[in-house]
Amino acid sequence: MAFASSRTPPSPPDYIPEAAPLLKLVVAGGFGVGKTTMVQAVSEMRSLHTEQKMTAASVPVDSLEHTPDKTTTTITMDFGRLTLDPRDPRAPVLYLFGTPGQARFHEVWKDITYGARGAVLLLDLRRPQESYEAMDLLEQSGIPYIVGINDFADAPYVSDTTVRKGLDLTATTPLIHFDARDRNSAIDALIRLVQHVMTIYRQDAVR
Amino acid sequence: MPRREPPREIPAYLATGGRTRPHHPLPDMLTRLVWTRVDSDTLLTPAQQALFDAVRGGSLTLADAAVYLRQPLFAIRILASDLIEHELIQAAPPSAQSDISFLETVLHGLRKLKDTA
Repeated sequence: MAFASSRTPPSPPDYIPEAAPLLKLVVAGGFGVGKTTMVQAVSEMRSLHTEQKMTAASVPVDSLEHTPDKTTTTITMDFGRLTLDPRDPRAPVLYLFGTPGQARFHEVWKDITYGARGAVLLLDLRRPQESYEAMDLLEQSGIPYIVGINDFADAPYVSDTTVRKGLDLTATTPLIHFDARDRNSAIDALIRLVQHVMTIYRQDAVR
Repeated sequence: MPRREPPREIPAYLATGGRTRPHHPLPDMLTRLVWTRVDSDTLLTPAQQALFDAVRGGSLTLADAAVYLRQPLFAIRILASDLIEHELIQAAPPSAQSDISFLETVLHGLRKLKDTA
């Protein structure tokens, strides 16, 4: 470039190798169940995108007609990246997306679940109902998922049978216990998820 | 990891010129934006230029570009669509990796990561 920029250049974006296949996985669940914790525990890099208060002036006219009282929108994205082998430019890169806590982020949900191969639905046994809505949304999206009980120390004991009944979980949906803060434990959850997705793909192949 | 300095802040509606829909639908936010190796002689808006500059350095997903440029996804889609129209970048959707062998590779990689953690 002929003209040097007068301002200090920002640090470069976090590029990914062009040959690396990408896999999108979702960490779903209600508010405070440990989604961010899990994304953070397994990712080498985490990106947080919380911003854009849309004022009435920036809201497109057509959407204003449908929601006349709406003046602000917050768009959030929380995801982590996990390169399976940093020395190999062809190694798969996992993108782990945390879902937004509230239903009003349906647009974000659509974006997050588009093309996702699988999801871990996080459950906090102290407040299991926090994750019910996320579970409904997952069901609607058709993404294969497993249920991961985030084992908080002060959580009450609830038998897996009771949890399954409460969630109305099909027998084939894996239910696991893990610690979202612990990297190995969180990776175990991902392993279980990928296995589950493989099982489903295999069944589809047979059909 | 400390948060990176935001490179630029342009309100989304200014970045997109008030448009809300891209010409090229880019539904998957893991779609990669890749520079076509053509340098721009078209006059780009600051927001378009910012995305172009970012993509010139290497391939970026829509999601990564949104975080880097601190713009909502819809704005990035519109800007990317503009640059595609100018033939300055190409969009590479993530391939449909639904085959078992790819997932085997992922599984193997995850297990190895666990061993080294």
